Amino acid sequence: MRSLLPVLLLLATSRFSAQTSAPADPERDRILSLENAWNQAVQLKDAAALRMLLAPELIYVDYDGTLMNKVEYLDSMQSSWQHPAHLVNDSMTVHNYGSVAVVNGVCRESGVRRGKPYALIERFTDTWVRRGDSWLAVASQSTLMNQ
Amino acid sequence: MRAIAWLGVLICVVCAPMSVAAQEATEGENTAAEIRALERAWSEGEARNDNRALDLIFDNALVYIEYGKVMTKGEYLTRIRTEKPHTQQIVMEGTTVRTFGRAAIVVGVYREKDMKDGKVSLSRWRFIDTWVKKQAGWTLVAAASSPLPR
Repeated sequence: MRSLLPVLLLLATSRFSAQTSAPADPERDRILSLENAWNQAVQLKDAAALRMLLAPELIYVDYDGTLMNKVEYLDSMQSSWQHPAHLVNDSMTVHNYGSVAVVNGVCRESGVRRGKPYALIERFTDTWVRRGDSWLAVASQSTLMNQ
Repeated sequence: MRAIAWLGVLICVVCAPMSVAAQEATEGENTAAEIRALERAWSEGEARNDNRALDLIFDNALVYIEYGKVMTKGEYLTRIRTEKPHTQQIVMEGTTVRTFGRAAIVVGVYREKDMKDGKVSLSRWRFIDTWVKKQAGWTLVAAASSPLPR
């Protein structure tokens, strides 16, 4: 399996600047890239990449209200009954408060769960905290939009 | 004499990190108490339709998510101002506060009793509130909840 780890190492430790037409804000671009890397890691079931993105104290609240810590979240991502094939974020906004950043957006996810195809549209809120030169996700919450 | 001096150095080396850890724990507890007080002030302000109190608690860039829809601070305050008082009852089931330097995350569950058109609806929600410490103090920057089975 292709691993995202090298990409994440670059994103997490360098002053990465994505090419956008918006005014240059390297930290904003970096956080948006980390959000997209998170989706790819979920899609690829890349536990090493997820471990790098998430703080040890992660608080994760899924769209159905399930509360998970980092270990539980990583276990759920590795489950054999769930195969997310496609995850795309849109309408993302980043509020940067220096060492803290909050991202809101919409995630469109589809795949196969317990042998059946599924499609979800979720509104998410992620909180990132800067530790040294890296940004780590400390909290994530999502709510279904297509109910 | 030399042994006593070494013993003094040893005590300092062992105790210094313990004292730093103890200080951090106290700071964490103080922050948690402060955040809990602000969460209470938010609930009370909302129950009283007290926009002035809420204006001080919410950051101008607040993102509030309710039923999957995004609300700005202005939209949320307008809704509270125009809402009939006491149509909604919120009971907290428990909260946990985690601090990450200048950020604090509150995770918890609340029960909501709403009265609309003479009908009572009950719901339970798991929420995450994100607070950031600015110069003027702690301010709420994001709040979102997910529905739980009753």
